[in-house]
Amino acid sequence: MREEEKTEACVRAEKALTVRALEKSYDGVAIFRNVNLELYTGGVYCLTAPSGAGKTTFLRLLMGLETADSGRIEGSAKGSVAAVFQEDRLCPGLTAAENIRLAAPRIAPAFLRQELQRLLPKDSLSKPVAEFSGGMRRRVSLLRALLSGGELLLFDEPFNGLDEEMRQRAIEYVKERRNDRTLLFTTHHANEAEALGAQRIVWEPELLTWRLMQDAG
Amino acid sequence: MSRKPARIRQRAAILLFWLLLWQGLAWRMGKPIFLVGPWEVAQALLRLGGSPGFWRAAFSSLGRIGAGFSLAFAAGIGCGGAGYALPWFEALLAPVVSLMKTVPVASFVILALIWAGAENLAVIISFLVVFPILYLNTVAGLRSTDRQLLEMAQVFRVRTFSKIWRIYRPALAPYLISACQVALGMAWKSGIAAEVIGTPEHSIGEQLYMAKVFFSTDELLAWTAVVVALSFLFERVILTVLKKAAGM
Repeated sequence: MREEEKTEACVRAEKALTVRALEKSYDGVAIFRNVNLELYTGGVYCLTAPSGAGKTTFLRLLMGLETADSGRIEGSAKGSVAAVFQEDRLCPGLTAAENIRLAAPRIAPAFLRQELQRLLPKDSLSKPVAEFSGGMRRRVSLLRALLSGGELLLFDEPFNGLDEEMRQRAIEYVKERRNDRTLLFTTHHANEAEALGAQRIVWEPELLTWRLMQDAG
Repeated sequence: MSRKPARIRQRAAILLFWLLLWQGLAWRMGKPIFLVGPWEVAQALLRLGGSPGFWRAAFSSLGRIGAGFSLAFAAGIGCGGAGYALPWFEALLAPVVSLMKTVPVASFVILALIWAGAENLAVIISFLVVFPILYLNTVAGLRSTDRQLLEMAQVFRVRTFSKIWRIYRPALAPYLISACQVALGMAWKSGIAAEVIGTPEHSIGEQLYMAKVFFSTDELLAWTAVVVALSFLFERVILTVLKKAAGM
Protein backbone atom coordinates (compact mmCIF):
# COMPACT_ATOMS: atom_id res chain seq x y z
CA MET A 1 0.00 0.00 0.00
CA ARG A 2 1.34 3.44 -0.89
CA GLU A 3 2.01 6.00 1.88
CA GLU A 4 -0.85 8.31 0.82
CA GLU A 5 -3.27 5.42 0.69
CA LYS A 6 -2.18 4.32 4.18
CA THR A 7 -2.74 7.83 5.54
CA GLU A 8 -6.09 8.12 3.83
CA ALA A 9 -7.17 4.74 5.15
CA CYS A 10 -6.10 5.80 8.64
CA VAL A 11 -8.00 9.10 8.43
CA ARG A 12 -11.07 7.41 7.00
CA ALA A 13 -11.12 4.78 9.70
CA GLU A 14 -12.46 7.18 12.32
CA LYS A 15 -16.09 8.12 12.10
CA ALA A 16 -16.76 11.76 12.85
CA LEU A 17 -20.51 11.37 12.85
CA THR A 18 -22.98 8.53 12.56
CA VAL A 19 -26.63 9.11 11.84
CA ARG A 20 -28.96 6.20 12.55
CA ALA A 21 -32.60 5.89 11.48
CA LEU A 22 -33.20 9.63 11.85
CA GLU A 23 -36.74 10.86 11.35
CA LYS A 24 -38.23 14.34 11.49
CA SER A 25 -41.67 15.71 10.82
CA TYR A 26 -43.50 18.99 11.33
CA ASP A 27 -47.20 18.97 12.21
CA GLY A 28 -47.47 15.33 11.22
CA VAL A 29 -45.87 15.88 7.79
CA ALA A 30 -42.66 13.88 7.38
CA ILE A 31 -39.62 15.95 6.36
CA PHE A 32 -37.35 12.91 6.10
CA ARG A 33 -37.42 9.27 7.19
CA ASN A 34 -34.89 6.64 8.11
CA VAL A 35 -31.74 8.64 7.36
CA ASN A 36 -28.58 6.56 7.82
CA LEU A 37 -25.22 8.17 7.16
CA GLU A 38 -21.62 7.78 8.24
CA LEU A 39 -19.33 10.77 7.91
CA TYR A 40 -15.62 10.13 8.36
CA THR A 41 -13.06 12.43 9.92
CA GLY A 42 -11.49 14.63 7.29
CA GLY A 43 -14.18 13.94 4.72
CA VAL A 44 -15.96 16.55 2.64
CA TYR A 45 -19.66 15.93 2.00
CA CYS A 46 -22.23 17.88 0.09
CA LEU A 47 -26.00 17.72 0.54
CA THR A 48 -27.76 18.38 -2.73
CA ALA A 49 -31.51 18.54 -3.04
CA PRO A 50 -34.21 20.85 -4.34
CA SER A 51 -35.38 23.66 -2.07
CA GLY A 52 -37.72 22.54 0.69
CA ALA A 53 -36.29 19.02 0.94
CA GLY A 54 -35.14 19.64 4.50
CA LYS A 55 -31.41 20.36 4.05
CA THR A 56 -31.44 23.15 6.63
CA THR A 57 -33.53 21.06 9.06
CA PHE A 58 -31.04 18.21 8.72
CA LEU A 59 -28.11 20.53 9.47
CA ARG A 60 -29.99 22.03 12.43
CA LEU A 61 -30.45 18.53 13.84
CA LEU A 62 -26.72 17.89 13.53
CA MET A 63 -26.02 21.25 15.21
CA GLY A 64 -28.23 20.26 18.13
CA LEU A 65 -30.72 23.05 17.48
CA GLU A 66 -33.63 20.71 16.77
CA THR A 67 -34.71 17.38 18.19
CA ALA A 68 -35.41 14.40 15.96
CA ASP A 69 -38.66 12.47 16.26
CA SER A 70 -36.60 9.29 16.42
CA GLY A 71 -33.14 8.02 15.57
CA ARG A 72 -29.66 8.81 16.83
CA ILE A 73 -26.78 11.11 16.02
CA GLU A 74 -23.47 9.92 17.44
CA GLY A 75 -19.80 10.58 16.97
CA SER A 76 -16.67 12.25 18.25
CA ALA A 77 -17.37 15.52 16.42
CA LYS A 78 -20.95 15.90 17.67
CA GLY A 79 -20.15 18.29 20.47
CA SER A 80 -17.69 20.41 18.52
CA VAL A 81 -19.45 22.12 15.66
CA ALA A 82 -18.69 25.24 13.64
CA ALA A 83 -21.42 26.52 11.37
CA VAL A 84 -22.20 28.82 8.51
CA PHE A 85 -25.92 29.38 8.81
CA GLN A 86 -28.24 30.18 5.94
CA GLU A 87 -28.43 33.69 7.42
CA ASP A 88 -25.16 35.39 8.39
CA ARG A 89 -26.04 35.63 12.10
CA LEU A 90 -23.51 38.32 12.96
CA CYS A 91 -23.84 40.86 15.78
CA PRO A 92 -24.52 44.03 13.77
CA GLY A 93 -22.81 46.48 16.11
CA LEU A 94 -19.52 44.55 16.25
CA THR A 95 -16.61 44.56 13.82
CA ALA A 96 -15.71 41.46 11.82
CA ALA A 97 -12.88 40.68 14.27
CA GLU A 98 -15.17 41.07 17.31
CA ASN A 99 -17.74 38.76 15.73
CA ILE A 100 -15.09 36.11 15.08
CA ARG A 101 -13.66 36.48 18.57
CA LEU A 102 -17.03 35.52 20.03
CA ALA A 103 -16.62 32.08 18.46
CA ALA A 104 -12.84 31.94 18.69
CA PRO A 105 -11.83 33.83 21.85
CA ARG A 106 -8.29 32.47 21.95
CA ILE A 107 -7.29 33.40 18.41
CA ALA A 108 -4.09 35.51 18.15
CA PRO A 109 -4.93 39.09 17.09
CA ALA A 110 -2.17 39.27 14.45
CA PHE A 111 -3.27 36.00 12.85
CA LEU A 112 -6.90 37.08 12.90
CA ARG A 113 -6.05 40.37 11.20
CA GLN A 114 -4.04 38.57 8.54
CA GLU A 115 -6.91 36.14 7.84
CA LEU A 116 -9.50 38.93 7.70
CA GLN A 117 -7.42 40.79 5.14
CA ARG A 118 -7.47 37.77 2.88
CA LEU A 119 -11.21 37.96 2.34
CA LEU A 120 -12.14 41.52 3.29
CA PRO A 121 -11.04 45.00 2.21
CA LYS A 122 -8.53 46.51 4.64
CA ASP A 123 -10.62 49.65 5.24
CA SER A 124 -13.61 47.58 6.40
CA LEU A 125 -11.89 46.07 9.43
CA SER A 126 -12.69 48.92 11.80
CA LYS A 127 -16.34 49.18 10.75
CA PRO A 128 -19.28 47.39 12.37
CA VAL A 129 -20.63 44.61 10.15
CA ALA A 130 -23.97 46.47 9.95
CA GLU A 131 -22.19 48.66 7.39
CA PHE A 132 -21.01 45.67 5.30
CA SER A 133 -22.51 44.48 2.02
CA GLY A 134 -24.27 41.09 1.98
CA GLY A 135 -21.25 39.45 0.36
CA MET A 136 -18.87 40.86 2.97
CA ARG A 137 -21.07 39.61 5.80
CA ARG A 138 -21.11 36.16 4.19
CA ARG A 139 -17.31 36.14 4.15
CA VAL A 140 -17.19 37.08 7.84
CA SER A 141 -19.58 34.23 8.54
CA LEU A 142 -17.27 31.83 6.68
CA LEU A 143 -14.18 33.16 8.44
CA ARG A 144 -15.87 32.76 11.82
CA ALA A 145 -16.68 29.11 11.16
CA LEU A 146 -13.26 28.24 9.79
CA LEU A 147 -11.27 30.07 12.45
CA SER A 148 -13.24 28.64 15.37
CA GLY A 149 -12.08 25.35 16.78
CA GLY A 150 -15.06 23.21 15.71
CA GLU A 151 -14.19 19.73 14.48
CA LEU A 152 -17.33 19.32 12.41
CA LEU A 153 -18.00 22.08 9.87
CA LEU A 154 -21.66 22.40 8.91
CA PHE A 155 -22.15 25.01 6.19
CA ASP A 156 -25.59 25.91 4.84
CA GLU A 157 -25.14 27.39 1.34
CA PRO A 158 -21.86 29.00 2.42
CA PHE A 159 -21.07 30.81 -0.84
CA ASN A 160 -24.49 32.40 -1.33
CA GLY A 161 -24.39 36.06 -2.23
CA LEU A 162 -20.75 36.00 -3.39
CA ASP A 163 -19.80 37.07 -6.91
CA GLU A 164 -17.89 34.61 -9.08
CA GLU A 165 -14.41 35.92 -8.26
CA MET A 166 -15.06 36.02 -4.53
CA ARG A 167 -16.73 32.60 -4.65
CA GLN A 168 -13.50 31.15 -6.07
CA ARG A 169 -11.41 32.89 -3.42
CA ALA A 170 -13.73 31.68 -0.67
CA ILE A 171 -13.61 28.09 -1.98
CA GLU A 172 -9.81 28.22 -2.01
CA TYR A 173 -9.85 29.63 1.49
CA VAL A 174 -12.13 26.82 2.73
CA LYS A 175 -9.81 24.22 1.17
CA GLU A 176 -6.82 25.76 2.90
CA ARG A 177 -8.29 26.41 6.32
CA ARG A 178 -10.40 23.25 6.68
CA ASN A 179 -7.34 21.51 8.11
CA ASP A 180 -8.66 17.98 7.65
CA ARG A 181 -11.80 18.69 9.60
CA THR A 182 -15.03 17.04 8.46
CA LEU A 183 -17.09 19.36 6.27
CA LEU A 184 -20.74 18.89 5.39
CA PHE A 185 -22.30 21.63 3.30
CA THR A 186 -25.41 22.32 1.26
CA THR A 187 -25.42 23.92 -2.15
CA HIS A 188 -27.45 24.28 -5.32
CA HIS A 189 -24.28 24.57 -7.42
CA ALA A 190 -22.66 21.31 -8.56
CA ASN A 191 -19.40 23.13 -9.33
CA GLU A 192 -18.96 24.07 -5.65
CA ALA A 193 -19.16 20.38 -4.68
CA GLU A 194 -16.66 19.53 -7.40
CA ALA A 195 -14.28 22.33 -6.46
CA LEU A 196 -14.18 21.12 -2.87
CA GLY A 197 -13.89 17.47 -3.90
CA ALA A 198 -17.02 16.60 -1.96
CA GLN A 199 -18.79 13.29 -1.79
CA ARG A 200 -22.43 13.88 -2.59
CA ILE A 201 -25.28 13.03 -0.33
CA VAL A 202 -28.32 12.93 -2.53
CA TRP A 203 -32.01 13.22 -1.81
CA GLU A 204 -34.27 10.30 -2.58
CA PRO A 205 -37.69 11.89 -2.96
CA GLU A 206 -39.64 8.61 -3.08
CA LEU A 207 -38.17 7.45 0.22
CA LEU A 208 -37.85 10.94 1.77
CA THR A 209 -34.29 10.15 2.78
CA TRP A 210 -30.66 11.05 2.17
CA ARG A 211 -28.18 8.61 0.66
CA LEU A 212 -24.41 8.90 0.34
CA MET A 213 -23.33 8.37 -3.25
CA GLN A 214 -20.48 5.90 -3.42
CA ASP A 215 -17.21 7.03 -4.99
CA ALA A 216 -17.08 6.33 -8.71
CA GLY A 217 -14.72 3.47 -9.45
CA MET B 1 -25.45 75.25 8.42
CA SER B 2 -26.25 74.39 12.01
CA ARG B 3 -29.76 75.21 13.23
CA LYS B 4 -28.71 74.98 16.87
CA PRO B 5 -28.50 78.73 17.69
CA ALA B 6 -31.92 79.30 16.10
CA ARG B 7 -33.41 76.46 18.13
CA ILE B 8 -31.87 77.79 21.36
CA ARG B 9 -33.27 81.27 20.64
CA GLN B 10 -36.69 79.75 19.96
CA ARG B 11 -36.64 77.80 23.23
CA ALA B 12 -35.48 80.84 25.21
CA ALA B 13 -38.31 82.89 23.69
CA ILE B 14 -40.89 80.23 24.63
CA LEU B 15 -39.53 80.04 28.20
CA LEU B 16 -39.54 83.83 28.50
CA PHE B 17 -43.14 83.97 27.25
CA TRP B 18 -44.38 81.56 29.95
CA LEU B 19 -42.35 83.21 32.70
CA LEU B 20 -43.73 86.63 31.76
CA LEU B 21 -47.26 85.24 31.64
CA TRP B 22 -46.76 83.68 35.09
CA GLN B 23 -45.32 86.92 36.51
CA GLY B 24 -48.14 88.93 34.94
CA LEU B 25 -50.79 86.64 36.45
CA ALA B 26 -49.15 86.83 39.90
CA TRP B 27 -49.04 90.67 39.76
CA ARG B 28 -52.62 90.90 38.54
CA MET B 29 -53.85 88.53 41.26
CA GLY B 30 -51.88 90.37 43.93
CA LYS B 31 -52.31 87.58 46.52
CA PRO B 32 -48.95 85.93 47.31
CA ILE B 33 -50.69 83.15 49.28
CA PHE B 34 -52.37 81.92 46.08
CA LEU B 35 -49.70 82.67 43.53
CA VAL B 36 -46.25 84.25 43.50
CA GLY B 37 -44.34 85.10 40.33
CA PRO B 38 -41.02 83.63 39.17
CA TRP B 39 -39.20 86.70 40.49
CA GLU B 40 -40.40 86.03 44.06
CA VAL B 41 -39.61 82.31 43.66
CA ALA B 42 -36.06 83.15 42.55
CA GLN B 43 -35.67 85.44 45.57
CA ALA B 44 -36.92 82.68 47.91
CA LEU B 45 -34.56 80.22 46.27
CA LEU B 46 -31.58 82.54 46.84
CA ARG B 47 -32.64 83.06 50.44
CA LEU B 48 -33.04 79.30 51.06
CA GLY B 49 -29.80 78.48 49.25
CA GLY B 50 -27.85 80.55 51.73
CA SER B 51 -28.95 78.41 54.68
CA PRO B 52 -27.10 75.17 55.61
CA GLY B 53 -30.42 73.34 56.09
CA PHE B 54 -31.19 73.77 52.37
CA TRP B 55 -28.25 71.71 51.17
CA ARG B 56 -28.73 69.11 53.88
CA ALA B 57 -32.38 68.65 52.92
CA ALA B 58 -31.57 68.56 49.19
CA PHE B 59 -28.78 65.99 49.56
CA SER B 60 -30.75 63.85 52.05
CA SER B 61 -33.70 63.58 49.67
CA LEU B 62 -31.35 62.96 46.73
CA GLY B 63 -29.67 60.20 48.75
CA ARG B 64 -32.94 58.53 49.75
CA ILE B 65 -34.53 58.66 46.32
CA GLY B 66 -31.25 57.74 44.65
CA ALA B 67 -30.90 54.73 46.97
CA GLY B 68 -34.49 53.61 46.29
CA PHE B 69 -33.97 53.95 42.54
CA SER B 70 -30.58 52.17 42.57
CA LEU B 71 -31.90 49.26 44.64
CA ALA B 72 -34.92 48.92 42.37
CA PHE B 73 -32.67 49.16 39.28
CA ALA B 74 -30.45 46.33 40.52
CA ALA B 75 -33.35 44.19 41.77
CA GLY B 76 -35.41 44.85 38.62
CA ILE B 77 -32.58 43.72 36.34
CA GLY B 78 -31.65 40.78 38.58
CA CYS B 79 -35.22 39.52 38.99
CA GLY B 80 -35.95 40.32 35.32
CA GLY B 81 -33.01 38.14 34.28
CA ALA B 82 -34.21 35.36 36.57
CA GLY B 83 -37.79 35.75 35.32
CA TYR B 84 -36.59 35.47 31.71
CA ALA B 85 -34.52 32.37 32.43
CA LEU B 86 -36.88 30.64 34.86
CA PRO B 87 -40.58 30.62 33.91
CA TRP B 88 -41.56 29.47 37.42
CA PHE B 89 -39.83 32.52 38.91
CA GLU B 90 -41.67 34.84 36.53
CA ALA B 91 -44.97 33.16 37.48
CA LEU B 92 -44.09 33.49 41.17
CA LEU B 93 -43.41 37.23 40.85
CA ALA B 94 -46.37 37.97 38.56
CA PRO B 95 -48.96 38.67 41.30
CA VAL B 96 -46.48 40.73 43.34
CA VAL B 97 -45.55 42.88 40.34
CA SER B 98 -49.20 43.25 39.41
CA LEU B 99 -49.96 44.40 42.94
CA MET B 100 -47.07 46.86 42.93
CA LYS B 101 -48.36 48.34 39.68
CA THR B 102 -51.97 48.79 40.78
CA VAL B 103 -51.94 49.56 44.53
CA PRO B 104 -52.10 53.38 45.03
CA VAL B 105 -48.83 54.94 46.16
CA ALA B 106 -50.66 56.54 49.12
CA SER B 107 -51.58 53.07 50.47
CA PHE B 108 -47.96 51.97 50.25
CA VAL B 109 -46.82 55.19 51.93
CA ILE B 110 -49.11 54.65 54.91
CA LEU B 111 -48.17 50.97 55.24
CA ALA B 112 -44.45 51.70 54.93
CA LEU B 113 -44.80 54.51 57.47
CA ILE B 114 -46.33 52.06 59.95
CA TRP B 115 -43.81 49.29 59.24
CA ALA B 116 -40.55 51.17 58.70
CA GLY B 117 -41.05 54.71 60.03
CA ALA B 118 -40.48 58.02 58.27
CA GLU B 119 -36.69 57.91 57.92
CA ASN B 120 -36.47 55.41 55.05
CA LEU B 121 -39.94 55.96 53.66
CA ALA B 122 -38.74 57.62 50.43
CA VAL B 123 -36.28 54.75 49.81
CA ILE B 124 -39.06 52.16 50.12
CA ILE B 125 -41.60 54.08 48.05
CA SER B 126 -39.14 54.90 45.24
CA PHE B 127 -38.18 51.23 45.20
CA LEU B 128 -41.80 50.04 45.03
CA VAL B 129 -42.62 52.44 42.19
CA VAL B 130 -39.47 51.80 40.12
CA PHE B 131 -39.09 48.03 40.56
CA PRO B 132 -42.06 46.85 38.43
CA ILE B 133 -41.10 49.20 35.58
CA LEU B 134 -37.50 47.93 35.51
CA TYR B 135 -38.50 44.30 36.03
CA LEU B 136 -41.10 44.18 33.26
CA ASN B 137 -38.86 46.02 30.79
CA THR B 138 -35.92 43.74 31.58
CA VAL B 139 -38.01 40.64 30.85
CA ALA B 140 -39.38 42.22 27.65
CA GLY B 141 -35.89 43.38 26.56
CA LEU B 142 -34.36 39.96 27.09
CA ARG B 143 -37.25 38.35 25.23
CA SER B 144 -36.56 40.63 22.27
CA THR B 145 -33.04 39.19 21.87
CA ASP B 146 -32.40 37.86 18.37
CA ARG B 147 -33.10 34.09 18.50
CA GLN B 148 -30.79 33.48 15.58
CA LEU B 149 -27.86 35.05 17.43
CA LEU B 150 -28.64 32.93 20.49
CA GLU B 151 -28.59 29.80 18.34
CA MET B 152 -25.28 30.92 16.86
CA ALA B 153 -23.92 31.35 20.39
CA GLN B 154 -25.16 27.87 21.32
CA VAL B 155 -23.52 26.22 18.30
CA PHE B 156 -20.19 28.01 18.79
CA ARG B 157 -20.34 27.54 22.58
CA VAL B 158 -19.87 31.28 23.16
CA ARG B 159 -18.82 32.06 26.75
CA THR B 160 -21.60 33.14 29.09
CA PHE B 161 -20.12 36.57 29.77
CA SER B 162 -19.62 37.28 26.05
CA LYS B 163 -23.17 36.14 25.36
CA ILE B 164 -24.54 38.52 27.99
CA TRP B 165 -22.36 41.44 26.95
CA ARG B 166 -22.44 41.05 23.16
CA ILE B 167 -25.88 39.56 22.49
CA TYR B 168 -28.24 40.24 25.40
CA ARG B 169 -26.97 43.73 26.32
CA PRO B 170 -27.66 45.38 22.92
CA ALA B 171 -31.19 43.91 22.95
CA LEU B 172 -31.85 44.99 26.53
CA ALA B 173 -30.38 48.51 26.33
CA PRO B 174 -33.25 50.32 24.52
CA TYR B 175 -35.79 48.79 26.90
CA LEU B 176 -33.77 49.77 29.97
CA ILE B 177 -33.20 53.30 28.75
CA SER B 178 -36.87 53.95 28.03
CA ALA B 179 -37.80 52.30 31.36
CA CYS B 180 -35.39 54.59 33.21
CA GLN B 181 -36.75 57.66 31.43
CA VAL B 182 -40.16 56.88 32.94
CA ALA B 183 -38.96 55.45 36.26
CA LEU B 184 -36.62 58.31 37.19
CA GLY B 185 -39.40 60.90 37.10
CA MET B 186 -41.72 58.52 38.97
CA ALA B 187 -39.08 57.90 41.65
CA TRP B 188 -38.84 61.61 42.37
CA LYS B 189 -42.58 62.27 42.32
CA SER B 190 -43.40 59.34 44.60
CA GLY B 191 -40.35 59.81 46.82
CA ILE B 192 -41.13 63.47 47.52
CA ALA B 193 -44.82 62.68 48.06
CA ALA B 194 -43.78 60.05 50.63
CA GLU B 195 -41.53 62.59 52.37
CA VAL B 196 -44.38 65.12 52.55
CA ILE B 197 -46.55 62.49 54.28
CA GLY B 198 -43.81 61.06 56.51
CA THR B 199 -41.95 64.37 57.01
CA PRO B 200 -38.59 62.81 57.90
CA GLU B 201 -36.09 65.26 59.35
CA HIS B 202 -33.84 67.12 56.90
CA SER B 203 -35.77 66.36 53.74
CA ILE B 204 -37.31 68.30 50.88
CA GLY B 205 -40.65 66.75 51.82
CA GLU B 206 -40.43 68.21 55.31
CA GLN B 207 -39.60 71.63 53.85
CA LEU B 208 -42.55 71.43 51.47
CA TYR B 209 -44.80 70.48 54.36
CA MET B 210 -43.57 73.42 56.41
CA ALA B 211 -44.15 75.75 53.47
CA LYS B 212 -47.73 74.47 53.33
CA VAL B 213 -48.24 74.95 57.08
CA PHE B 214 -47.03 78.56 56.91
CA PHE B 215 -48.76 79.33 53.58
CA SER B 216 -45.35 80.20 52.21
CA THR B 217 -46.13 79.80 48.52
CA ASP B 218 -42.82 81.30 47.37
CA GLU B 219 -40.87 78.68 49.38
CA LEU B 220 -43.21 75.92 48.22
CA LEU B 221 -42.49 76.81 44.59
CA ALA B 222 -38.77 77.32 45.32
CA TRP B 223 -38.54 73.78 46.76
CA THR B 224 -40.55 72.48 43.81
CA ALA B 225 -37.99 74.08 41.49
CA VAL B 226 -35.25 72.32 43.49
CA VAL B 227 -37.01 68.96 43.02
CA VAL B 228 -37.38 69.59 39.27
CA ALA B 229 -33.70 70.56 38.96
CA LEU B 230 -32.47 67.57 41.00
CA SER B 231 -34.72 65.17 39.10
CA PHE B 232 -33.48 66.57 35.78
CA LEU B 233 -29.80 66.31 36.79
CA PHE B 234 -30.27 62.81 38.24
CA GLU B 235 -31.98 61.67 35.03
CA ARG B 236 -29.23 63.16 32.88
CA VAL B 237 -26.45 61.47 34.88
CA ILE B 238 -28.17 58.05 34.99
CA LEU B 239 -29.12 58.09 31.29
CA THR B 240 -25.64 59.23 30.22
CA VAL B 241 -24.01 56.43 32.22
CA LEU B 242 -26.53 53.90 30.91
CA LYS B 243 -26.12 54.96 27.28
CA LYS B 244 -22.35 54.79 27.64
CA ALA B 245 -22.54 51.30 29.16
CA ALA B 246 -24.87 50.25 26.35
CA GLY B 247 -22.44 51.61 23.74
CA MET B 248 -25.08 53.99 22.37
